[in-house]
Amino acid sequence: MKNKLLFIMVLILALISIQIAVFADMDAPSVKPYTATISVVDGADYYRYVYDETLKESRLEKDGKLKYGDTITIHYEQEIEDELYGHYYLDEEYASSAYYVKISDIKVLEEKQIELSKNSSKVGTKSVVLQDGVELYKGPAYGYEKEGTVLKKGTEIELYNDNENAGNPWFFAKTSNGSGWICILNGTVGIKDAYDEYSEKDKEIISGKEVKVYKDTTYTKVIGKIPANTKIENYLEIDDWSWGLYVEHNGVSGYVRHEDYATNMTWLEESMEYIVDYPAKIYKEADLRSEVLVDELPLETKLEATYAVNTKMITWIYVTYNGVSGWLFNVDELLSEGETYQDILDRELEYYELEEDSTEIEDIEDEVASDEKIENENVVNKDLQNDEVVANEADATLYSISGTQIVLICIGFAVVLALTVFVTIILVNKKQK
Amino acid sequence: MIINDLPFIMINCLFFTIVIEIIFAIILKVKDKKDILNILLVNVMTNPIVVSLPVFVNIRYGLMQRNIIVIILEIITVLIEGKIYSKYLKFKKINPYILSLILNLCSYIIGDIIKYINF
Repeated sequence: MKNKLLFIMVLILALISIQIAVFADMDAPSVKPYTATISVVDGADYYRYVYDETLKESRLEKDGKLKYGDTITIHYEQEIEDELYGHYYLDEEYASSAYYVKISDIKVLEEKQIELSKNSSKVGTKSVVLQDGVELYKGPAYGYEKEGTVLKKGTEIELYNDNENAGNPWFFAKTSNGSGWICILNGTVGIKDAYDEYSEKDKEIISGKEVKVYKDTTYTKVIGKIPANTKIENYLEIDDWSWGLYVEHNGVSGYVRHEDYATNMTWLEESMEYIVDYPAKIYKEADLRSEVLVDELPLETKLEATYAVNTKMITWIYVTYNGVSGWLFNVDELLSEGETYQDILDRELEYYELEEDSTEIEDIEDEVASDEKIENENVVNKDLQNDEVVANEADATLYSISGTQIVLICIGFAVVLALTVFVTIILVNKKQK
Repeated sequence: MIINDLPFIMINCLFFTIVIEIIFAIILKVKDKKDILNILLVNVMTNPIVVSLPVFVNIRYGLMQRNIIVIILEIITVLIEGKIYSKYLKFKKINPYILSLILNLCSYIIGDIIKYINF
């Protein structure tokens, strides 16, 4: 009996472990879950993502309606096509995929302001609002009511990270006009020393190559460029999701992408000594294609390196020799057996060609994708025109069954199955008798 | 839950309900193969309705009504299964309605544990 029980326990544990599913859907930054109620008298539509085989993309589609007064728990908030949506589970017990409801259709049950918890810490040494019209809220989500304070670009604020609300882009802001919760997504707020609040001096950064400055964190519109070898003191860190920096240089203020500053900008806290042990050159920029300032450094030359940039393949260090400052690349870590300095140069040059090709390929792929999309739309439209069965809108829904209809079909099937099995039970037991 | 997944959820629930109830039936010393078959068939009869109907109620009327329906359906299920067990099961050591209650409770609780662990 004991062995049987043990076996059964092991079997149940095995069954339980098979059930472990990945908690999906982390596209949108999470919020501290909050309970909200549907505030629209006629009810609120809810949506889900549907994959369109023809267009090869997912799109949000209406799936049903929640009634006025229905309560749901919002776990994520996401902006989709300029509309804010809250993500919730239709049935919390089966929580596995997202349903979406418009934030404008819900009202948080908690009416008073959510206070900053005792388990909180100030973020950075300085925080600045980087966009006009940033609003404060009564709680750490867009579903809460607005507190009433609207901040202008350039406003300095005190930002606090509520550790009980960690991992999402909502922080508590204290300003001269009031306090409340602020969302720092999309580079709304820039923070000085966000990750090094105990630093005693501001670290300046330098650009190894020309770096583009963008208007916003979509990184689509270039508003300026920072030349190579520019030292920048005025920069702020922005949210992790936008992944970039906010910089000010020569009257241009904007955002730099993470991939640009991670590979083309750098800072060093302490200088280091470097001894030349190969026929090295000093370049104007951290790029082999740039002008050579010093053609060949004598071996054993000692240099002081003040900055280091890691590009895709190699590390560049910023040095000064006989009054000339520029970039030298560090091959020490890269030389494998049998490789020469020239081999590394060739590899880096090959990489530059690949980089240029991949940019071309991406452009071509985008064009092809766009053409295919147009072609597919034409095919679908043509089919619809030629198809005599699709006479009206009701018939067109054959192509998409609503969620409610699927549930009703399942219930119908379950009822038929129940009746069939009931008859089967009777027959099976009757035979035996 | 994606509504499109409901058929798969129903199959999943049915499978685990059958497995759990048969295991516990064996623990309770239900040995006859015919009795095991009846337990299996009875669950195939009741489980899909118990899983699918609350989903519809939730969409139409909300979570609270859905929970009420689940309780009502579970009570009805226990009674129907108990009736069938009393009529056809050879196993008489335990009252058939009590047996039905025990088996349904076990599958319900273990199902909840599985969901809790997952999420």
